[in-house]
Amino acid sequence: MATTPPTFPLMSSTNTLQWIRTLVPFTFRVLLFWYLVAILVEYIFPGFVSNQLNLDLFLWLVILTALFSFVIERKR
Amino acid sequence: MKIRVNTIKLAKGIIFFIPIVISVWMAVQYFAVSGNLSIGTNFSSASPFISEWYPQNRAGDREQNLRTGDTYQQLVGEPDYIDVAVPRSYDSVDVTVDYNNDEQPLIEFGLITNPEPWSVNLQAFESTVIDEALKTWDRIDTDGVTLLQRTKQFNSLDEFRNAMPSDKGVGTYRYQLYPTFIDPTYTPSDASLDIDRYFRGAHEFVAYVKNETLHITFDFADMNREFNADPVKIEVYDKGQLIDEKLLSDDGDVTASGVNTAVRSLTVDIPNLAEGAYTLKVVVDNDMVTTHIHSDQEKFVAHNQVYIINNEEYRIPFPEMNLDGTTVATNATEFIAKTDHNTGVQTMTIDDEPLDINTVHEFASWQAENATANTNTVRTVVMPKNDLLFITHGYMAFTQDSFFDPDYLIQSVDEMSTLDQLDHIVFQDYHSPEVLRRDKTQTVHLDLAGVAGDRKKLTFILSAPGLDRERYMIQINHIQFDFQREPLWQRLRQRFHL
Repeated sequence: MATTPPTFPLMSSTNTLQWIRTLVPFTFRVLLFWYLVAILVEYIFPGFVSNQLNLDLFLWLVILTALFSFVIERKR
Repeated sequence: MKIRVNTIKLAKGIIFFIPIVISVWMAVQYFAVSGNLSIGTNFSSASPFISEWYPQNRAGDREQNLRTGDTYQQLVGEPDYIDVAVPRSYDSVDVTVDYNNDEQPLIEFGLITNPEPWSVNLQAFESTVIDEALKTWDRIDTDGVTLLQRTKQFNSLDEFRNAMPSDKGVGTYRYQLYPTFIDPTYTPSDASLDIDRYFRGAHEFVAYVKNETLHITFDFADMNREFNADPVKIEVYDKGQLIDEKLLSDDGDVTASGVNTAVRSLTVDIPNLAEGAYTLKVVVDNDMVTTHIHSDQEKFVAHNQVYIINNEEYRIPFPEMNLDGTTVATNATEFIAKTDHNTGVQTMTIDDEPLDINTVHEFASWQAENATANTNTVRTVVMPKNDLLFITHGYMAFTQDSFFDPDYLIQSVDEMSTLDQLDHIVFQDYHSPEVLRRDKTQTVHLDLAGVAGDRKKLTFILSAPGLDRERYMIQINHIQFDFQREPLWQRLRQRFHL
């Protein structure tokens, strides 16, 4: 009986969508968590974060992933 | 399916782990765990730590060479500043600058240690005159001091100092030579000199003595504007050697009460001195004002800097102050001046040539048109409203007759110096930049111990006298700051006495 060669799971478009649906909301939660930690640390140690990272850019990243996450959750 | 679930878990782990790595890296930087922090910029983009060079009218915008892709900033005026923000305070910094400079003869680089009152720590950066001499002149190094000779005449620095030639050009850079100055035309008389200008802060004066007692009285008043004791010390030097010292203790008010004390006097009285010039250093902080100087010596000059405050701004603490303008005789070929108050905005004149001091806290500069031909010229500088910090290389007298130049043999190697004027050069604390074709690299070490404030926001300064006047340009390609302090574990050991 002919068998179809196994396909590498990552190359399937269905799997790609599953990756996105899982990882984008996860990334948003991680970024949000670390952003709040960064704000708290910045309050206790002024300059700890802001001297090395752009907090405004960080916030935009959080907002962006939140938007993507929201869109993904809506389409489920 | 299991492989996919494991792969997703792995991806989640990486996503969560990356911020932890970043946090640890930031903590290492912030707490200076290793004691070192290196930051730099090639001006290709804005840096979170390092500003661009400013002000805008002297430093160009960030630019890029479209052919090579190199980015840089060009400096066309001076002085120029660059700010650096660091997460911790450090003890010292090595600044390495990659730059191009084809024509500017003298550059110095340093740090603003205190904006008010203004103080700067400047280090040697580049002297094209010395660099040229280093190529072919005879060189003798002694304890960090270098003597260059166009034609070898002396076998050691001591031999040179003891028999300084009076018919050869001698240049110094960051090194003080003390020639024996004798004025054959001078005859001591009973006439004395009274200076009613109010000098704020530390000053240096030089008096000429011949067959007479060195006798000078200084009157002082403590403004008590700052929280600290304000003692007074007058040091008397003979060719760099301290020969006498007078002390006046604080008035007892160490608070910032703003209450003036009664005027107190210190007198320097030294008989039987050999003929020559003697330096008197008034060592005080900016709370102390010298309100009057009485000198039995007619030849009496101030050296390098005066801060005269006979101005409306100081009327309240000194109601009796004479507000007339000040006229100074000086042999300076260039100077800078600034006022810190609106009442000090004025137009100075240098031999009737006007110079506007119209921006508070900002230095205005002046330079003689052809200074090489005017090194012996005595000019008249008028400050109609005073309240000026006046900084130069040279001497200033408060009457024409009292002017003299004890350094007549010696000239500072500055931006106006040329190699053909000199036969001997003595310098210290300078090494030539590394040169590769047109590119130069220089490293300057700066101690941060004397910097006011928390030392987390630092302003560095590049001084290139004459840059805008001569329309030269310096191109900064890259600047690197390597900060140093004790490693964290060592500081913890000291803190907990381990």
